[in-house]
Amino acid sequence: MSKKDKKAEKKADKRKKHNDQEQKRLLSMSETELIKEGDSCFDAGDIRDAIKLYQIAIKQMSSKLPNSASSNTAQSTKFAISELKSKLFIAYITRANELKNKNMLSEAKAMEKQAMASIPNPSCLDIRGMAFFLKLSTPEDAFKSYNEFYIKKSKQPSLDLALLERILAEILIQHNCWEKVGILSDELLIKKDAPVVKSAALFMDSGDWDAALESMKSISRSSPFAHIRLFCKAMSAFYKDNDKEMLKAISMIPKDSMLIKITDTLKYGVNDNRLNIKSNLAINKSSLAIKKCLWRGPFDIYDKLENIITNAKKENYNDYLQKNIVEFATLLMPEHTDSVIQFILETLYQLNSDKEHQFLKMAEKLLKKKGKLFRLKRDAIFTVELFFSGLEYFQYLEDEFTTLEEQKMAKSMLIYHIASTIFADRAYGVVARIIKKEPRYAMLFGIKSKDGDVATLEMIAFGVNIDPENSSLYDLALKIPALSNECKKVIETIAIAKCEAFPDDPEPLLQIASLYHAKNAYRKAESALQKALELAPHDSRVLDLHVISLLISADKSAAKKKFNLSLQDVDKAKRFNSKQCAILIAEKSIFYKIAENSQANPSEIEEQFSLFSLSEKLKCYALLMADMEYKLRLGKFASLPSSYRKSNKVSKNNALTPKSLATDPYSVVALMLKDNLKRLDELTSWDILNLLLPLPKDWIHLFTALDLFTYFDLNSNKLILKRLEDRDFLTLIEKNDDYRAFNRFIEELNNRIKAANKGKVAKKKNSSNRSLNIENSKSDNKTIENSKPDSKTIENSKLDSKILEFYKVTLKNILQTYRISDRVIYNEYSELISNLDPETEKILKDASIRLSKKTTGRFKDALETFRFDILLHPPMMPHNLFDDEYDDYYDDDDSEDDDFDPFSSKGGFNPFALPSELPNDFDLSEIPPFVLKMVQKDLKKLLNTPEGREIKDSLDEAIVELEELVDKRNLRGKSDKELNETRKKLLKERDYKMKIMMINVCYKEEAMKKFSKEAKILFII
Amino acid sequence: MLKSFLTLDLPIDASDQDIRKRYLELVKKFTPEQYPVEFQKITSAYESVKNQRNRVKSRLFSALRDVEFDNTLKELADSVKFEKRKSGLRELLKAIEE
Repeated sequence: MSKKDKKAEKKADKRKKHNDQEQKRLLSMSETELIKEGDSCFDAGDIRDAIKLYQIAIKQMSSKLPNSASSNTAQSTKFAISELKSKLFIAYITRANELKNKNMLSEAKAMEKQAMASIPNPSCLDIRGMAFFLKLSTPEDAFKSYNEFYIKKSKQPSLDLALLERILAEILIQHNCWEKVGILSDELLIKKDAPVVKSAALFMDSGDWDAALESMKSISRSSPFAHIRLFCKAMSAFYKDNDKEMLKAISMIPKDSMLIKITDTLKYGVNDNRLNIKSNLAINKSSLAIKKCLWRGPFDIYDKLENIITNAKKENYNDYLQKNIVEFATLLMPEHTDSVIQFILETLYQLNSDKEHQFLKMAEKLLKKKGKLFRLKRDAIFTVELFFSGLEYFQYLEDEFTTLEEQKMAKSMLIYHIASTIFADRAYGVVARIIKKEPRYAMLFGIKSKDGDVATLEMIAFGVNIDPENSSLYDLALKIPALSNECKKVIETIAIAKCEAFPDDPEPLLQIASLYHAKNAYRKAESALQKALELAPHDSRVLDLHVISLLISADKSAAKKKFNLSLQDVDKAKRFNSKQCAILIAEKSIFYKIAENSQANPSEIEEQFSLFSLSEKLKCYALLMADMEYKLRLGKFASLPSSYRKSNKVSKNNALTPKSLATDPYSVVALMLKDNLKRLDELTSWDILNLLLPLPKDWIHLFTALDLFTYFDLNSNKLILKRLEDRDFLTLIEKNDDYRAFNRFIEELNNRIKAANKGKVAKKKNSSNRSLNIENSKSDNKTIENSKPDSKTIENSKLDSKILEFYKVTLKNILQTYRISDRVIYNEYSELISNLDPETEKILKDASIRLSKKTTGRFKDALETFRFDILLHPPMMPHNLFDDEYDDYYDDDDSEDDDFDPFSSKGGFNPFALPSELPNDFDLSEIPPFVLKMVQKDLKKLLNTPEGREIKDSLDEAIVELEELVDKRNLRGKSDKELNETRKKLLKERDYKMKIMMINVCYKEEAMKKFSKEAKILFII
Repeated sequence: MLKSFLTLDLPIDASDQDIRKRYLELVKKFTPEQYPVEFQKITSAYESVKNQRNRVKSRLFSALRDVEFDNTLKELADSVKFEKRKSGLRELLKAIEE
């Protein structure tokens, strides 16, 4: 025997010994002691012991019964035994209920049987015992026993028999044994009311609860059937969705009623909007049988769901999962099972399963005919095969969408999806290559051009034609830079289509007017604006653009020296009362006078601007200088000797002399601006922000640039930036795209970071409580002006130095990406954004997205996603622009690319096969002239062959990208000198250096034809 | 989108008019004062499916959604509809026994 067994045996012995001792102790006790201890156990909830004690007591008492049953002692003993049996009965029932609660139903049943067997005469029971007895008896016994009980106890006036009669009432209802009531006394209410309830029961059985309630009208509150009437009321309210009434009725039904299970279940529907939810019904499995009587619905939906989730997570794409998906879909929408299955599969696809093949197989099996569609849709939307699959999927849309209207919408949406991806990736070369390789796509989408950008626009025009109401397509078309006349033509067609599709909307007319202005088609623009004015005579955008249109006309007249016509247009412009253009009109009025007379009168200028605030005045002077600098200097309007400008340039240490003032209008204005800048301390942070933000977009038709920075000379006037609050300063950084100001911004950020770290609590006089999130506010100055803060004394909330540091690092990296490696950038950010509190992290994430617009490439991606670790991974190229086939896409031969040889790639020389990081000091002049000539000669030949087409596409794409760079950096319209300075910097930027080199080596002639004036200065070497 | 149709208790091929009609019925019944949560659910469901263009877009690009698949499916299950069923006393009493 093991040690363990020995221990168990010892324990059993000990227990037996204890039991024996306990048995001996009980047997030695008197009946009175036993009953007393039994009562204590019962009261303490130890029912099992109470039963045992009562049983021993009954046994002892029975054994002491005298032989003569008629003796007084015998009678009293019998009575005592009977009373004790009543107690034992109650104990049995209480124990049975305990067992029921433990879900030991068969044991409870046995206990109830024992209880019934222990009762010799129910009439001896008290009310509580009798209630139990009635519930457990057959209807016949129940009525018979109650009758005896009633006869025996009715003489006790204080006895309340309502509980027992209510139980009898439920027996009548439950067993439909209405005849049993006949044996009861006529005076009992149950007997009186039984016929009424009997007829009502017929309605109850048929589910006509209203009729049942109606027929029980005469049942009083004191009737044993009163709770049955309340139950009918609850049921009637339930079907009428009257929760309040239902709950009120339920609350009055006694808790010991057999109906309570039903009324508890009714409550599942309460607080449920009856639209859906009721998930509680399906989640909670208790009283399921009753729930199924009261509701119809998918009770096992959560079982199916659990099966789907469990198997999908384990990637078990087996028959069992398929069966559950089908059943789940059927339970959700039996009449649209296929659509639901497709939705479930698309949702499950988010799992990014490793067993994708098996998943797709399952999808095809479940979707049958639409299986192929699922695969194509997945490819079109998720994968790098967007173009081919998207175009293929286009043809299958008729299978997915049944009505013609839906098909049109879906087709145009898919075109938008493809075109917007092309636009985002600047993948015009890929488009050109695909349509060349698969001409059927060109036919399918109405593409005629072989140029990628034009083809993309033609594809958009095709989408617009299919579904003219798809406004996203128009907006996308207007974003694509129109670099060639072909592009401009297609964009114009699309813009006209938009005007036709939205005839009541002035917005398309404004867009087309802006397009015409850019094309110098003034009359057409004016005609579009007239139409817009008819549609929305009070729309501020319409009025503003109309003013601009008139001022364009005024500029044109001034250029022809017809200043009287210019001033007439200015007068017309004034009549529009445009708040936003007020300073512009004032500036133009004075500008034309200066241009006409070749001289500036300070008092006249002062008077012209006198009604404006100081910040508006400063802006007027800057605008005036911008006009004078570009238009007069270029000699378009009137003569202004360039020597004036050179000799009298306003700078910190070089003040203008009164003599020069008298003769040089530019200097007059410059000096006036300088004088006014001395009053900077009168301006709030808000005013300064407003002053430094770029001009409204449409003003580009009147000025060559939208930034007025240069006129305020931030380097000399350091106070300007200092007076900006942190928040306003960061807003300015985000809104400004002029790279020339970035170094000054970085300098100012450094000062602020130092101050923040030193914990200086500098309170500024003027502050605001605006949000940092400027993207949510309107971008134009008008809105900013209109929402000027009321108080000048709001405490400036200093920003965390981490936020300032983030802006500094980002600006620095935007300027320096060509000089430092991605790893260095990553290290800087990983330190900066570690251990951020959630609030700061949110602020930085939002700022990062906004700042991402200032840069390109992977640094842009990192900022956009706020994930700087992507800088450590090799760049992803979803579409290898120079591979003939996609077949090699998965070839793992990267190691062979280590040896750089631009001539060795398939198809001959590939200029973009040059290493991505050229040495910083690499220069075109370093290539020996004979080598350069040789390369150029070979390339010229190659570009004229079919094989060279792809390289040509890529070079065209590079031209587009460089033109975009001109716009992005606000270089359009800048002076030659400024462009030349920028060129030097651009040639050092890694992202552009290689492209500029390659265009100059391989594609110079073509680029000369395609580049704009600015691009030629910037990129042609 | 599917969830919205389940919330509004409409088939997925319901027309603009059907959707509008159902929406008006529901908001009349579930006023924002009495049932703010339900009202919001109904309105948000309606907004997402009220016009055909939104519905087509949703069907076309639903696969683009970046979602937790289990939560999405659970939301569907939560949106199922249970209708009240007429039942009599005898049937209910029998169900108590089960």
